[in-house]
Amino acid sequence: MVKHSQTTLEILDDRLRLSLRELSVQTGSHAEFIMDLVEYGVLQPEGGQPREWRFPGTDLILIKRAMRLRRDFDLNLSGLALALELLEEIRMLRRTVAELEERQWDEES
Amino acid sequence: MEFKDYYKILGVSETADSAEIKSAYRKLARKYHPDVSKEENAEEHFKELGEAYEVLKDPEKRGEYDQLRKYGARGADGSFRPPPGWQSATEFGDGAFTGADAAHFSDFFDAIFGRGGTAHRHYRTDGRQSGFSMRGEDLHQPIALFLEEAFNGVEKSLRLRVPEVDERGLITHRERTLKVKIPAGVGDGQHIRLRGQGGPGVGGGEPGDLYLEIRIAPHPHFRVQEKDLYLDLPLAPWEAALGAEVEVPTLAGRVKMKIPAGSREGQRLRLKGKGLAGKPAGDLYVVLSIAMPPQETESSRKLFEQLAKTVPFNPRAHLED
Repeated sequence: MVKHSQTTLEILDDRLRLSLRELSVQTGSHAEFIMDLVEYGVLQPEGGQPREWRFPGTDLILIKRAMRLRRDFDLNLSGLALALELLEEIRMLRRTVAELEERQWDEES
Repeated sequence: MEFKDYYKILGVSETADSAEIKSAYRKLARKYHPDVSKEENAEEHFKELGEAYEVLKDPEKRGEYDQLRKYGARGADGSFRPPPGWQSATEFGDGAFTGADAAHFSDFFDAIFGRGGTAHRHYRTDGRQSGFSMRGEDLHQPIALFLEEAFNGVEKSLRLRVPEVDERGLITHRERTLKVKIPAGVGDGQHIRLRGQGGPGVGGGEPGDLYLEIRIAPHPHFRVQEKDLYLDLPLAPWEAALGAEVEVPTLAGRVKMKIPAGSREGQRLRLKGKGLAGKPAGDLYVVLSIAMPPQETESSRKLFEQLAKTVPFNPRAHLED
């Protein structure tokens, strides 16, 4: 964590580890919803029992996104799990396309 | 106050039934939802859309809206005033809130239906409210970085549009500039959280957080995949055949690298820990390609002829039956 002015700056990556309770408080989500996401394979925490689960910081963003998608598209859990997976795939593909376009432009110029 | 034509926003007629409204919303939500869209101003569009759907999907609210649409006073400039003494029967906060992100709804919506928890009429002028407190809104903002900036860290000035409660208890937005020191080693798509830098809390509630999403601009040489970097490295045919020591760029400067004899097109060589920071740090993958010399001289042509005669090589053997 880096102190910036009077605020704390955190990189939400896999170096940050959060418990179920911390995730629930920080996302404003019910613990049951997070547990459902684990059951559907969207989240894969370390640890055996829910009390021992440790989630990477990236899951915080994923849960917030899942909450928005569920609310705005009225998705059930299996639809939500599929949507999240496909969105990640699209993000990676868009990035690859942008890089290929960049290289093509370089070759042409 | 600007009049909002919810039918126009959803692209449906005044006589549309609930199935048509739902279908129109879903189509437009797919187009403009900030989590799935790449349209410009997607967020602004989606806020409008969410507000329109919130009203038109609810028969009671829709009925009220239709009445207002018919009888409210509209100025030539598109401004709108509800009829005198207007009071909604479906005010938010009385259980009418259905889960949409009401914090973003417009003043127009606010004036007609109120806003449970955040409506101006629920605030006291000192910004507090008896027996009620609410955490401030989380703000999300993308931040574009060059790969070098992400690798080395950089200080950036951000212009944010932050909601705040004014002295009359109304929610307004103001521009705020925030200096942020992005630490070294952030990756594409990663998020940074600045606690307490989001919207203000209500009734003594904590302020929300600010989430910055890192977007790394495409680099002319390096491709980013998670924490790993990829670099295409062209070799002369003889460098690939005989092996060589070549200089390759990394984000931390140029390094010498040994190319083994007999290297092939597409082969990957790994420079461990030369990718983006992390635990463990990412790697840099050097992807080999074979480049032909640009212009063949007479002597080089003779050398290739000699190769053709002396080396029994059929690169298309796998295509033959």
